[in-house]
Amino acid sequence: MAYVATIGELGKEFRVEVVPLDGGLYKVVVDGEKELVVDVRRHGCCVYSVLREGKSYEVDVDELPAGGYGVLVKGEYFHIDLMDEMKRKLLSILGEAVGAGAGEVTTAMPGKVVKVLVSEGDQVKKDQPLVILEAMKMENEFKAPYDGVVKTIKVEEGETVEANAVLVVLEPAD
Amino acid sequence: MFRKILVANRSEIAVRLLRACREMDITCATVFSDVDRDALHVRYADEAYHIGPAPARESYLNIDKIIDVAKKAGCDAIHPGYGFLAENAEFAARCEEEGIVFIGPPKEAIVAMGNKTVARQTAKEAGAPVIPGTLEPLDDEGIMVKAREMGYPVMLKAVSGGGGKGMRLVEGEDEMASAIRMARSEAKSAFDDDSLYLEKYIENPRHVEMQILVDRDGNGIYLGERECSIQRRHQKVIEEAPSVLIDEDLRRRMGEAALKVARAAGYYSAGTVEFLMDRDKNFYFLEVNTRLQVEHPVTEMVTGIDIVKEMIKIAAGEPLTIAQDEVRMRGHAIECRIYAEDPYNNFLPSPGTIWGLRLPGGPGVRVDIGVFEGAVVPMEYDPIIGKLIVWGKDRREAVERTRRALSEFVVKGIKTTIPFHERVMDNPLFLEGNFDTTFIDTVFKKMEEGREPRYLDVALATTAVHVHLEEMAPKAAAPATRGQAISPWKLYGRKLQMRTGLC
Repeated sequence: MAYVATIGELGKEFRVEVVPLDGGLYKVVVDGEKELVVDVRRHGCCVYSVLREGKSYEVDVDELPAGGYGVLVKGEYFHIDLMDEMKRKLLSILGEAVGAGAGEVTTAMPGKVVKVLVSEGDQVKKDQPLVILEAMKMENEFKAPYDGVVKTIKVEEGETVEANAVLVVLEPAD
Repeated sequence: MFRKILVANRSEIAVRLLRACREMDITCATVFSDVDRDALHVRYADEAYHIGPAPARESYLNIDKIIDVAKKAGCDAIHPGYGFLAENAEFAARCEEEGIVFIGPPKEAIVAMGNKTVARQTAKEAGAPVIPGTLEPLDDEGIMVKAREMGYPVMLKAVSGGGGKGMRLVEGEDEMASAIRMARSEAKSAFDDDSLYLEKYIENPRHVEMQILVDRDGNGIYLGERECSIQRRHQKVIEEAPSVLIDEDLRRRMGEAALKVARAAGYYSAGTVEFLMDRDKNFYFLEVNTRLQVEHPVTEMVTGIDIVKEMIKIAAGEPLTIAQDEVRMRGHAIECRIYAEDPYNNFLPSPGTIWGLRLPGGPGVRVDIGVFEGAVVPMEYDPIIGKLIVWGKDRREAVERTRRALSEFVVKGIKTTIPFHERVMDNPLFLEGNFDTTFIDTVFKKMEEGREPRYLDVALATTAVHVHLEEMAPKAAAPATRGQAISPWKLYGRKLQMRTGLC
C-alpha cells in the first residue's frame, strides 16, 4: 500500500509505501529511496512498540478528532495527515475545481468573541485587527491576511465559537 | 489550629492545598462550578459544594457564594490559592467580618501591594531600588506624553496587574494606540480596573524573586530566590531555584530588601517580592505577590520547607519556628508549567478533553496536576493543567532529570507545552544559564527555526503501518480507535480553511 503523508508544520509531503513481511515485520519505503525494516507491535488502541535495527521506540499514533494523526516518538510530536495515494490523486484533481472557502478568516482556537472591530462592507488593510477572541483569560487579535473588503461577519460579540470556525469572510482587493 | 479549611480554587493548586490539609489532619472542603463537577479537586476533597455557572465571575469570583458555603459547611478558614480571589482585598475583608480566617496577608497589605503604583511608592520609601517610571496611573494622552519623555522602549502596565495580564512592551509610538487598547481591555476583564502606568524598559532583564515567610508578630525570613526569566507573553513558563546569577551575598541583600518592603506594607503570611535584574546584577523592585505563587514548589524542593503548611500555621496565629540561619538551599530544582496551549502555534489556548495521560515518576520528580484521563479542560479558566517539578543535586542533574521526566510525560487530546519544555532543556544557552525574560520570544524562537525534528522516519513508518493495519482489519474486529474516520472531503475542506486562516 502506498500513502501520501503531509506534515503541515514542516510544509513537507512524503510518499510512504508499506510492504508487510513475515513475523510482524514491515518494509517501509519513504519517497521511493529510503528503506526501513521495522518490527511493529501494537498495544491497546494507540501505542506501538517499534524496533528498528536494534533500537526501541515507543510510538503513540492517535487519530485526531479534527483529522489526521497525532504521532509521538520520544517527545517529538508530529501532526501527520496520511491518505491513500489514489484517493489523494482524486482529491487533487477535484480540488482545483472546487476552490471553496477562499477569503475565510478562521480561528484555530475555540473561544468567546470579545469584540468585532469591523463592519460588513469595510475596507481593511493587511494586519488590521478584525475580531478579538478570548479563551483561558487570554485575548487574541485576528488580523486581516491581506488588503480587502469585509464581505460577511460570521460571529457576534459574546458568542462562543469552536476551533476552526469562520470569523470573517474577506474579499481581497485587486 | 483550624478545624475545617475551605479551598476556594480549582485544578492543580486546589489539589496542592487539599494535600496540605490532609497532612495536617484538617478537614478540607472545596467548591466547584457547573463545568467542574467532574474536576479532580472535587474528588480529592472531604467535602465539595456547587457555587454556580462556568464564568468565574459567577462562581470562583463570587464572594457571597463562597462565604455562604464556608459558613454553611462550618469552615473556620479559607485558602484562596492563586488567581481568583487570592489578591482580592474585599474578599479578605468579608472573611474577617464573618469571623472566618483568610489564609493570606492582611487586607491592608493586599490593597497597598495590589495597586502597583502604591507598591512602587512603598518600596521606594522602604529603601528598595525601584524601576524608573510613573508612581501614578495615566490617561491615554498622559501615557503618550510620558512615554515620549522617558524614551522608548517602555513597559505599559496595569495598575491592578499581575500574571502578565494587561501588560505590553511598547517599542515605538506607532504601536502605542493598539497596545493601550489591548492592555486596557485585558486589564478590565482580568481585574475590573483598566488604569495603566508606565515603567522604563530594562534591557536584558532577568526576573528573580524572593520567597518570604512573615508571621503575625512581624518575624520574617526569606527562603531564597527563584529565577523566572523563561517567560512567554510576560508569563512564566519555567522557574528554577537557585538562580545561576546569585551568590550568598547578593541573596542576603535581596532577601533583606524583600523583608524591608514586607515590613513597610505591614505584611504577614507567605509572599513573594519580585525583582528585575539588569546585566550588571543591579536589582530593582518590581512588585509584591501577596499570595502563594504557582512556582512555590521549586523553593520547597531546595529548602525542604512546606510553604503551604507554613502559610496555614501563620494564619492560625502560630509563630515562625524556622530561623533565617536554618534556611539552606540544597541542590537545584526546576519547574515546567504544563499549559493547555499550542507551543507550535504562538501558545494559542487549547482547551478540550484529555483522553490520554501518562505521568512521569522516578527519582527527584514531583507532579502537581489538576487533570486526569477523561478530564475536560474548560475554556473559561487559566490554561495551567499541572506542573512538573524536578530536583537534582546540582543544576546539571536537575536539567537531565527534567528532560528524562518530560520524555515520560504524555498528554493526549489537547496541545500542551511539554514539547516546548523539551526543546528548552536541549537549548545550549539555557544550559549555560545565559538568558533573560525576552529569551523565548526572540533568541530561542530564532534558534528553533528550521530545526529538524528527530525520529521523523519512525513516525512516518509507524503511522503508515497503523493505517495499513486499520485498513486490513475486518471492520467488526477492528480495534477500538478514537473518533470517526474522517472523509477525505471533510479533510479537504479543513485544509482549505487552514490555508486561508491565520492560525
